[in-house]
Amino acid sequence: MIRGFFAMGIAIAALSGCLVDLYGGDPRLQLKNTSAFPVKTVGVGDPDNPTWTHDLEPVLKTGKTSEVIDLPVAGDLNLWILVSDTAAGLDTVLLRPQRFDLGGFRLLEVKGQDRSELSTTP
Amino acid sequence: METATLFVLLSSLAGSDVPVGASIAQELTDIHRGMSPRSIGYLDAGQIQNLRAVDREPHQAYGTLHGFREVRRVTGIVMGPDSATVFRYGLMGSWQSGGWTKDLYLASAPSLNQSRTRWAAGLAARHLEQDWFAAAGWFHVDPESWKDDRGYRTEDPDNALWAQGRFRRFGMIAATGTDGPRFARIGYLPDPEPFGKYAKKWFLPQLEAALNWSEADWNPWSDQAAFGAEVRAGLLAERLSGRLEAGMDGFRLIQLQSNLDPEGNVGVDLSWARARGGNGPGIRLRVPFLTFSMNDPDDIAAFGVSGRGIVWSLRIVMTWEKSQGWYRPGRRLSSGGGS
Repeated sequence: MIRGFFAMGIAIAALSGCLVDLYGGDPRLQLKNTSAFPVKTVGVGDPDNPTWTHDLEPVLKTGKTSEVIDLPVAGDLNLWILVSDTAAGLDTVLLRPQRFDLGGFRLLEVKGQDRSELSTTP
Repeated sequence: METATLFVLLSSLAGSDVPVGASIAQELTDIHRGMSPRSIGYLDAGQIQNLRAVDREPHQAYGTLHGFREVRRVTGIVMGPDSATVFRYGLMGSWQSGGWTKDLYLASAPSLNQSRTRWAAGLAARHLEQDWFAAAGWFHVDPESWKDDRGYRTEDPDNALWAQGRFRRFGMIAATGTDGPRFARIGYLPDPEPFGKYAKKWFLPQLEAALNWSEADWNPWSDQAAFGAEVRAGLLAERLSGRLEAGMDGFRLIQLQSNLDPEGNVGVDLSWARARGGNGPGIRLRVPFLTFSMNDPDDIAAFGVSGRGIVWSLRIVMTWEKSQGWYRPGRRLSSGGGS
């Protein structure tokens, strides 16, 4: 009987390990740019002293959708998006506190035809 | 400065995580119940973690993070070296490490995580004929900090001295830090004497009781310093036993334990506890060598992990009286000599 319980223990341990491996994962982000300006970079944290950044290469032009980006962590993140007005030579940082669930996916749209109108949805 | 104040405030609002001091208090209590003068060894090893992600871990740069807590521990006592003598001495060592991780890992978290490691070391002695066991040592907690390229400290290091002793079935524990006492417990402890087939099945040999006091940071049940009382009573040669614990801070737990074998290696424990994370049920399944639990209040307290959400653990806890005889701390060898 003891051997049976021991085998059952090993089986439960293996099952627990499988269940753990099935859960979680970094959240993912995809950007769609319908603004008049190219999107250069996305980051989390303070834009002046960034902790995590992802440069879009090539820059995300108007009407394009980025590749799927793995974020470093889930939660209510201090997300920011750097949009560049190449004609004026000015960059705009869109600060957006945004919730990302563990293993989740979110598509954000960058829109605005003027620098003062730049925003993201949803 | 304002940012730091905000994060301290968020931490206090989210403060249902059991502090690390509660883990050594629980560990000393387990050793206290498990190590009788006849014991020659003790082992506690395991892992516990949230199975469902929880919120509210503030990070200075990223925001409020969504993730898990996980902790691993190995604790051992080895008595030696001469088994023929009535007086023996031994060594105790303990390592525990873990903290917040962004995902579930069966190994160490590879990237962003908040980690803390604690150590305990001590000396032990026992006298078989005089029927006493004693141990004393040091407890140290490293600073808690984020492990990333902008890592920063979130908790300062801590130190404490602890001692425990047992004479027959009476025992006590005391622990103190540089700023005063942290934890104390006096108890009428379990009897490691085997039940004979017809002997000692009445109530008193199965009774166990204790009074304890925990400083706020060492209290797994609430965030205030409080006295507590605990009663355990067995039936049917401890094949069934009940446990009730309450304190000045209110109800703590009620538990029903069942044992299919005399050593307590196989059984199911059901509980209802009011931990820092709130009220909730818990279950622990014991098989030889291993225990598995979901929201078990002992394991939550032992590892300093919050009871929020679903907490599971895989743990080995055992005591030896001879090389072939082992049983769970607080239980006893069968008259046939154990497992």
